Amino acid sequence: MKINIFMTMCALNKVKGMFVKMKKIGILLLICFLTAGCVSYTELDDLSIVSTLGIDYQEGKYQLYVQVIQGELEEQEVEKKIITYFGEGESLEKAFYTLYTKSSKRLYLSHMDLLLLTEDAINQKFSEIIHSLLANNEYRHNFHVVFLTTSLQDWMEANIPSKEVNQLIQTNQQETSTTMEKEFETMMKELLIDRNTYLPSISYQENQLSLKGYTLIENYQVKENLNLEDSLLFNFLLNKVTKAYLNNANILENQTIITTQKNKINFHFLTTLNPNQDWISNTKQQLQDFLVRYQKQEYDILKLTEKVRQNDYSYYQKQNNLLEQLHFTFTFEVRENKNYLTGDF
Amino acid sequence: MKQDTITSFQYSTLLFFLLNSFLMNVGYHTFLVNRNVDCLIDVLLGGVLILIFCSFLFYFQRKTKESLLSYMNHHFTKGKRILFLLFFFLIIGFCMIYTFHTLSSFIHYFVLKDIPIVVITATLIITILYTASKGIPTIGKLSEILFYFYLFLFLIGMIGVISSLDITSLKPFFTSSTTNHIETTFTYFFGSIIPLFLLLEIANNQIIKEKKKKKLPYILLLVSILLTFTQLLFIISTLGIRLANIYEFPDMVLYKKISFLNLLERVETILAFQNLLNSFFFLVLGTYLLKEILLLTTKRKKEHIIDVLIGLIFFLTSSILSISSSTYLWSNFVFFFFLLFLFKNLTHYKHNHK
Repeated sequence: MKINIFMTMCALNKVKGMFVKMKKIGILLLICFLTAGCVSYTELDDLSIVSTLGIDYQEGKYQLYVQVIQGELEEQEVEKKIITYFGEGESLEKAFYTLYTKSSKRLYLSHMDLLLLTEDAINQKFSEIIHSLLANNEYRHNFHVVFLTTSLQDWMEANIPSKEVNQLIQTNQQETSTTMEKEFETMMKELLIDRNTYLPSISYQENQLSLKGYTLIENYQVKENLNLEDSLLFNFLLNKVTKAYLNNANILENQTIITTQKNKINFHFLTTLNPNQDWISNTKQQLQDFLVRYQKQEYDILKLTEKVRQNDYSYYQKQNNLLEQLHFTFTFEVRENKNYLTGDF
Repeated sequence: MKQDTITSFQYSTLLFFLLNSFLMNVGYHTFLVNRNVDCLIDVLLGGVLILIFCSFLFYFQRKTKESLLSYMNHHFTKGKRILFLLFFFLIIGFCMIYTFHTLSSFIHYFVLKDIPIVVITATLIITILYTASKGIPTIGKLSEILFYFYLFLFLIGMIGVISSLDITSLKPFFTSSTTNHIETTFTYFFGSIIPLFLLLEIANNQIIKEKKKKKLPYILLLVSILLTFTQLLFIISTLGIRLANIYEFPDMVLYKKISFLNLLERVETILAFQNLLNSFFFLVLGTYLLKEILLLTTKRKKEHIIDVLIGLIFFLTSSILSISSSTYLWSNFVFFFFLLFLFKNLTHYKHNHK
């Protein structure tokens, strides 16, 4: 009898142990299924990776052009294909919805590296576009923003990859210093200071992609386009010149140091160039004219008032119209690159 | 008894995480709301207040030698005990629901976009309940392990954004009004009251005291304050005060900028684990406290039912209730004065007892 009870107890304990084990396995299985990675995962093939987003605004409607890169397996090699989708709608969201009706794959915005904006899009809906881009967490805010002076439709029909545009800007940034890349985040920083910014501008005409300098934006509106010469001066003041050709002189190196003392702004240039007699006086005059021109228009092109605010806050606070009172001086420290093959031996 | 103990370091790391829960519950954007770089000083000022507050908590812990709940159980009358426990249960439960909602929304928005929030919520609840059920020693061990992991992620994050730093963004300094300073300093201080209060669940005799490590809790609190300061400094100098102000989680924007020689990029989802850890220990210790309160009022055998009950409350209320960070701050503010009242009562009892 005692043995029977003992055996029953043992059996019960075994069952209990098994139950505990089963419970543990059950919990583990449940966790496995709940583990986020297994739920609604997406294969790379199921995504359309957006490289360029072009936005225009015509007759009360947003016009969206989205360039996507799709990889297709052909003869055991993945071939990249660029496909352009078009969507239209009263709001940016609606325009995106219409885009989706044409795309079998999910549009993946995280790898976008170019945003093209037209004049109509900026003049009529710039703040809404920015708001929409900020609200969507999928964008990374390090894509480049470019102003397109010609038709967006022509551009998209030509299927120009974003890489080509970015390279055009990058090359000119290094070789001619007439332009500069502008990331979305940098643009945002500038807009939040005084609602003014500038964007590199390009055009596409007669199958030719070309650089057009800068486009100035004031109060979320296109103010004017700077030609390549003015864009170079602008970059020269901003310390963005590496190599350039200015006033018949070849600039080989440059560093611009901006210092402020109350309303006095001094630009000090450390420049290496090929010899040129009147270069300093000519350049000084050009720079002065350039800055005074925008000062008269009450447009703080270099955000100098912000610099004064950073360096001398108490002075900044006392001034009513600081931009008007700014006084510019220019000093040069030129190192001439001599031609050793000429002159006396 | 020995099994219920935690080391001084584990206890300090718990403190570290509890203070860090401010960053998830209230967040960096409250520092940046006045668009002023001076908020960096306010973090340090708030940190000093927090250190003073913690020294009071440590003092209380040393004197009572037992956890707050057991002390109340032994020294309070039944009516008073129920009143205090009910208040604890409601206000801490309320703050935890808020934290839980914030955390699950954060994961859904930043890390697992395509996953239904229900799945995230369920997974989180299971993890929190399981960890809380293991007791203080396991929580302590877990916090010690994760502390090193947290520091590693933090360092990776900060090294990765060094190239984007712009020191001129930190100018002009000392431009904030006194009101702004007070507002930000006390936001940091009051936002940390309830999380730090949870350390009173750990009795003094549960902590293995080592002579050389007496100041360790203060050191790790200081580390937490300095890490918050450093990250805020990096946020402002990288994004600029104006841009940082428009983001709810500027730290996540910072992580998105991380790049190691253009080879290692897009690591923000991994680094977001830091934010998860900040809230996790608050939720675990909070759940532990709620369970203890319920166990005090019910029979011990119903532990599993209590687990399910707490899980269900989290699951249902976090999706229904919409609580703002200012409500969370207000509840911390109320709780602070309630704590003063509680301590006054406790000292009164102690005096009578003597």
